[in-house]
Amino acid sequence: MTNQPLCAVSSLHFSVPDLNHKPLFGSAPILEILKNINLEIPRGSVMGIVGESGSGKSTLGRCLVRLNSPSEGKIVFDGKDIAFCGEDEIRPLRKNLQMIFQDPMSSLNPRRKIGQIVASALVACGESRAQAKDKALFALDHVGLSRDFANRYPHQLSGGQRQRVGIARAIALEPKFIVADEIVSGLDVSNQAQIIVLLEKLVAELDLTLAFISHDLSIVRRLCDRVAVMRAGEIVEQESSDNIFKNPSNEYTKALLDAAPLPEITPGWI
Amino acid sequence: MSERPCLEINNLSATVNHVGERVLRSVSLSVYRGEVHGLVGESGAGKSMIGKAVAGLLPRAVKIIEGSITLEGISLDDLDEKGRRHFLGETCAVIPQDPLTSLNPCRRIEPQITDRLIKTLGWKKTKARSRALELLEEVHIREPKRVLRAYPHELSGGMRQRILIASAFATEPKLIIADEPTTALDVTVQKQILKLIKEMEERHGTAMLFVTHDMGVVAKICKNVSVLYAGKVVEQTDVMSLFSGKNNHPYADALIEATPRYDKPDHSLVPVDVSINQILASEILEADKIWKGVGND
Repeated sequence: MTNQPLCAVSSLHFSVPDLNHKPLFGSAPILEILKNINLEIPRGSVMGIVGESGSGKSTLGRCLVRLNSPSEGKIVFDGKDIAFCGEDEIRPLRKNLQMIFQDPMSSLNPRRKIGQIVASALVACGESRAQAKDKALFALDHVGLSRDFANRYPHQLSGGQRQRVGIARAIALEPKFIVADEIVSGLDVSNQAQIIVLLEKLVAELDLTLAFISHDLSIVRRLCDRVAVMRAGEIVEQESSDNIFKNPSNEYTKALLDAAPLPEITPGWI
Repeated sequence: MSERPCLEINNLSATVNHVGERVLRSVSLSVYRGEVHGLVGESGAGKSMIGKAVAGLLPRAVKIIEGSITLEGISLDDLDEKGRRHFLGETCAVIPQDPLTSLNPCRRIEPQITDRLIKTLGWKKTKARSRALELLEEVHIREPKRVLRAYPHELSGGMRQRILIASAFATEPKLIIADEPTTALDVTVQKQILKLIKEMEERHGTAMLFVTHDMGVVAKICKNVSVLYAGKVVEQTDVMSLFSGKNNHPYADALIEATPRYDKPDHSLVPVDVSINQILASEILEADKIWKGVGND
């Protein structure tokens, strides 16, 4: 059982009706967002999902935690196929499927205090209020926010601190699996570095499995064990992190690597 | 250099509502024609603030308390409100950070580019339109005619940023302030946009103030760079010597180490060390002491 990957996706398809081209009568044409995705995420590993905007990486991330329902295929999580199970069936699993969102400002309720925001997920999973509060404070400690942050509102925090709250909310439930969707792309470099170091620490300490979505291969390099490169809804290359950066085989991966600006002078890059 | 700088900022300080700490601490820099000057720092370092001070777009609460800004040999203090607006409208343009919120969603692209030509330069509408078409071709937009009729929501992020670049260059300004123009874009589009900015900048010989937090971008596009911390310039040098890694301020090196890079994972994404923050804090304290001493005399 433990040798099985925590999350295994096979021949996953996701499509939506293309309402921009819907004829007046009849049904709209089908737009395929994800085409035949095969992906395995081993326990305790960090999987990087990389691609340009519009490549479907966020849609895949949302499918993994079943915020989107796929149209075909299998998502086996912890030995159970969750691709088509209903809301009643998936609710007990939600505790183990957490997500950290890209924009921390719009994913935190501006009218509630940080402590309440983190604790509400715990209360929803059946913890008592007192217990939820303790665990929320503990989670805030874990991401490096002191206890007085629990009484502040999201607008009183900086971007990096808000993203830490997003992480605290996800880890408070002690989930098995977290999808982190572009969580550092809105932050400046020194905050990016701090968040990545924090994630490295949490993955090691809490035995997390992480799917890390990003458009920047440079960030993925430091954190991930395996990398899947996506383009136009398909995975074009899937390799261990060492291999993909040393000998990229796919042309598109090479182009992505080339586009990442390195902090050194390279004449002719532009 | 005998040539006159396009933009010269001298000893500029600003505070919020005349009270408390300075948000800009005696900033001095000059930018020459055809040169890209990078402003680098963490968020809150005041890098956008400098750009806004030049363009006259500072929030009301922020007051400039000393120093001067000279653009094309004319000091902005010498002009009255109306004259300044007119002068800035002709000689200076801004490429904003967020291409989504910087275009009016209810208007087509065409008037959003031609407005400045018609209002600031007094051009005829037809002439302005043909100039807009020309510009869209220059920024490599296919089907420029269709795009002129389109609304912002019909275009992708990269396209919108191209349009903002086109409209910045529309009046042939002497100075362009690019405020993190590629932060909202993904890496492949970022490269295209940087290439485009460089190309346009070289063709038009514009001076440019390039605000960014990414040392990678600085290395690729800037000639000179000012590293800012808490509104103070801690390092001002040309990029060649900055990235050769000698005689830099430790904070500049720390920012380079914090930049993600895939080829040296052990030397990337290193958070700025506490000791460096202490050095910076004491430097700022020192600078404030000197400044207050001068002010009391």
